[in-house]
Amino acid sequence: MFLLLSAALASPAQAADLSLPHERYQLDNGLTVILHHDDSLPQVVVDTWYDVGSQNEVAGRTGFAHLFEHLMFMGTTRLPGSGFDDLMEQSGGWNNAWTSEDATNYYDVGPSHILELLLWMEADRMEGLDGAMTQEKLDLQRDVVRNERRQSVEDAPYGEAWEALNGAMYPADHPYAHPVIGSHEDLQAATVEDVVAFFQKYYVPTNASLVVAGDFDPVAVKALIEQTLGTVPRPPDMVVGSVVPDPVDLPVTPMLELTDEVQLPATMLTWHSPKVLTSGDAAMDVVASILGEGRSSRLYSALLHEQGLVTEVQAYQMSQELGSLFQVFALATSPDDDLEAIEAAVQAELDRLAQDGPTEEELTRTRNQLELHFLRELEDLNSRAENLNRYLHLTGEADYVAQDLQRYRDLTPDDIKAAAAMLSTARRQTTRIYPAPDSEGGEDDAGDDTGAEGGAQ
Amino acid sequence: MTALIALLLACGPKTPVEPVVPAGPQLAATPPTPGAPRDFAPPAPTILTLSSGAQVWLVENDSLPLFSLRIIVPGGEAADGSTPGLTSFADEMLTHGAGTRDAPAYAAAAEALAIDLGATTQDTSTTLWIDAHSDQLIPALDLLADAVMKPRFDKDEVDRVRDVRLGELTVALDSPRSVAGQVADRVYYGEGHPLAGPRSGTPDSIEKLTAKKLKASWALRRDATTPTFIVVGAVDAETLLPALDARFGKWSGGATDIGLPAPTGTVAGTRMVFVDAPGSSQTVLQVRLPAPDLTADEATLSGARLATTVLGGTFTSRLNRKLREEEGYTYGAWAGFYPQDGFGEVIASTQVQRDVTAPALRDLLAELRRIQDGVTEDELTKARGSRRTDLIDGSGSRDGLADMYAGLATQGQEPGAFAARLAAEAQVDPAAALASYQLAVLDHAAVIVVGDLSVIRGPVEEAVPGTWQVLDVWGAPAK
Repeated sequence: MFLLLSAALASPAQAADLSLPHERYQLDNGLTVILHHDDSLPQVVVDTWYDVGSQNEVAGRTGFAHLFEHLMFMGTTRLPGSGFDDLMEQSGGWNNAWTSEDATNYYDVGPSHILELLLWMEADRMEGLDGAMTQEKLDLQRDVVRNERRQSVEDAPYGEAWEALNGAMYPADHPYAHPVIGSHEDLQAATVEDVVAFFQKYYVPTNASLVVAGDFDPVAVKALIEQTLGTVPRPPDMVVGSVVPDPVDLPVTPMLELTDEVQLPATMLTWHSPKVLTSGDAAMDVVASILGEGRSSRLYSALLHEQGLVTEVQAYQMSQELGSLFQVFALATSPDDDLEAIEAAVQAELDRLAQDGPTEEELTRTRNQLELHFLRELEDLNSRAENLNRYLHLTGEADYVAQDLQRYRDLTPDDIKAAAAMLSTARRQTTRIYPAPDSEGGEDDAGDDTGAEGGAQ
Repeated sequence: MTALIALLLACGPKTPVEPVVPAGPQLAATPPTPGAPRDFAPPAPTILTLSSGAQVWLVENDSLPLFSLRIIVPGGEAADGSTPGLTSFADEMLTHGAGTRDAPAYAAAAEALAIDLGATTQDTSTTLWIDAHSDQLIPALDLLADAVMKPRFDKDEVDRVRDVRLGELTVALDSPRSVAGQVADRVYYGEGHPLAGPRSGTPDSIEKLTAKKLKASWALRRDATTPTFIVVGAVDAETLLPALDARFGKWSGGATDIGLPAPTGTVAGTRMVFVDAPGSSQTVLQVRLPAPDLTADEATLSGARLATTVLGGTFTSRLNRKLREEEGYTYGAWAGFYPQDGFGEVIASTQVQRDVTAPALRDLLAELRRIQDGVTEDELTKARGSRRTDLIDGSGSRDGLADMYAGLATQGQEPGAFAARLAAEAQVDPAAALASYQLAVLDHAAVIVVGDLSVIRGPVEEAVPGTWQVLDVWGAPAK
């Protein structure tokens, strides 16, 4: 198979050529630093990764990791108020951040001449955010986050289904049992003391890594980093450690039937699947592609083109550290459509893939699409910076791009077949969403949990 | 695999056993002052010419084996005539079967080689596009040439795509933001305006579109133009020019006038509109205002661009600062300036918590008035920096740079316009920005409020007195 696939994409950028050149070292305070030099544009990216996400939240504080991410932009003693964003933008830079179940990532992007300023600002908030935290800041960002929740979940079509997903898939004591954005009730309960304790535990050099990417002097930059991030004190030794839950294979609530403010019914089928970068994870990506990527995919061809059962159908592997989810989402064509018929059609396609395996054409297509995806990930400086941090976090190696792609190149038809067979026979979770006949909606009717990855700005 | 799992689970304590290092030098008490920026202009394209006379803007960049291609075909939604959705439906059909391939075969051919291609309908143009591996240049051009010159518009596929589009129209009604956009189009542009839309059509208009009408729509626009080609990536002129000439060398139709009539919806005065979204926990606010058009001189356009950036173009813009950072009403607020050939407009928009709709709308309108009092030099400096950084960011990818140049071509501007804009924006001072920002604020605006009227209507009417209309999700009077 692989000879065939290699011949199909005789590209000048084979996996062995893909790399993220970098220099990696550690400061005395424990902060890992990765330098990635590229002066093709007068641009720099400072990407700071903290090993903390919603999986680290304690009971009664769902959504806190993401709320905290917002508070990182609320000023310090040296740079109070909105100084972080003001100074960033006055200098031509911009920034943003995201929080997932597994990590929190901050990135600053700007013209290369402001690199020292970006480093100073990251050092400033890593060193002293807690000293300037106030109830007023917390209250304000709590309101912003609750609005984000309303916008991204409560008023988003089919948001109710995403809100219910984590609780349906994981037992209550699992770190993924609640979604990143948290509940209104828990967000309201957060205190300034919570913020300070969270900062002092997780926002320390020993729990972070810094990527500086772009147009900089490879020698001078080390002095700049030492003068800025290097001044952040090393914290007292403490075990930050992530919780390692027991593996979860079965959904907690196999069937959910919900109503939402939508016009068309939809069904969401979800399976537990292999963790990110572990055996089976890449095969699940390929199964998702064969089933749902593009108009020549199996689900599009069968359910939409041939049978006219759906308006839209997607499949994806959501890879995460403590356990992944594989999902198929299908949107019906009219309010009275039979969701069971759609689910049966999805199952039939899964069964067929499990029985017969992929065709040569499907493997060629998927491989080519993956190769292109990897190339495009290497194109953007910001993406390269984030990937260096992500790979470091997941594997201990910052440049893992060639190995990552090789996982897909090493797949055999039997691997794909086995992954499909697992989905075909494993117990899945089914969430059906029906149009609400007459709903008031809004946060009062929303559950305590909601599913979304949070971004601050 | 075992080792890998161990690594994954080990995230957390990086070096828990080392002693604490006493704090050394302190961080400087004040932030450093940046030096001078490095000179920058987006990579300039080489201008090539096909035998048809069509221009090809080529930026060669072989750092990765990727390329992006854009072809600008004038027309766009403005060519819909009295049938909303005609152009976007016809454009979508171009890649649903062409030449000898029916729709599944066409999709299979493109996807097998990981060739992303399609057609995107805009206000006054359609952009045909390819993003692919540079090894696939020739097959990608073959596929696109078939889509342009030999689209099939097979009846069965038209029917199939129509069903999907009807479903998508239905789903769009679930989004208050989508509803706000399509109602704002109709209210602001006015009945009969080419952009009154909706761009994707209505159920009625889509139902009536036949394969014959769709085919005619595309042929009319294609044959009326000599397109502009934009290519960025690992492609050299010696390969590209003959390849394009062989496939598109006879594509010539002269110049197309893309001028648009001015909007008429608010000529008689500001219109304020409610659309009911029962149960919505947030309210969408959208305000549209007249602004300079592309016939204005570069100094005026630069002033308007910078002033709009100050108003709502960045995180620390006035709108976002007031509505998000000071009041906590919203997750975000923004404003954009959209000059066209014939008219220009500023659009300001946000989604706010339902219970604070009235004060949020009052504050939004207040900021739109306040920008008329002028901007500061500091604000202009920030806006200039932001716009320069946008150009740098856009230049960092092939598709980003191709889209930037496609934007210029769509507006009928030359490739050097970016440098000219940077130079002109450097000359804008607060007085010039104020002079160029000739917005008839609230005198000729469209104010659209989409939310749960059972909760928000009374407080909004009290906070912003005037004549409020209630329209349905399509912009027609609500029953």
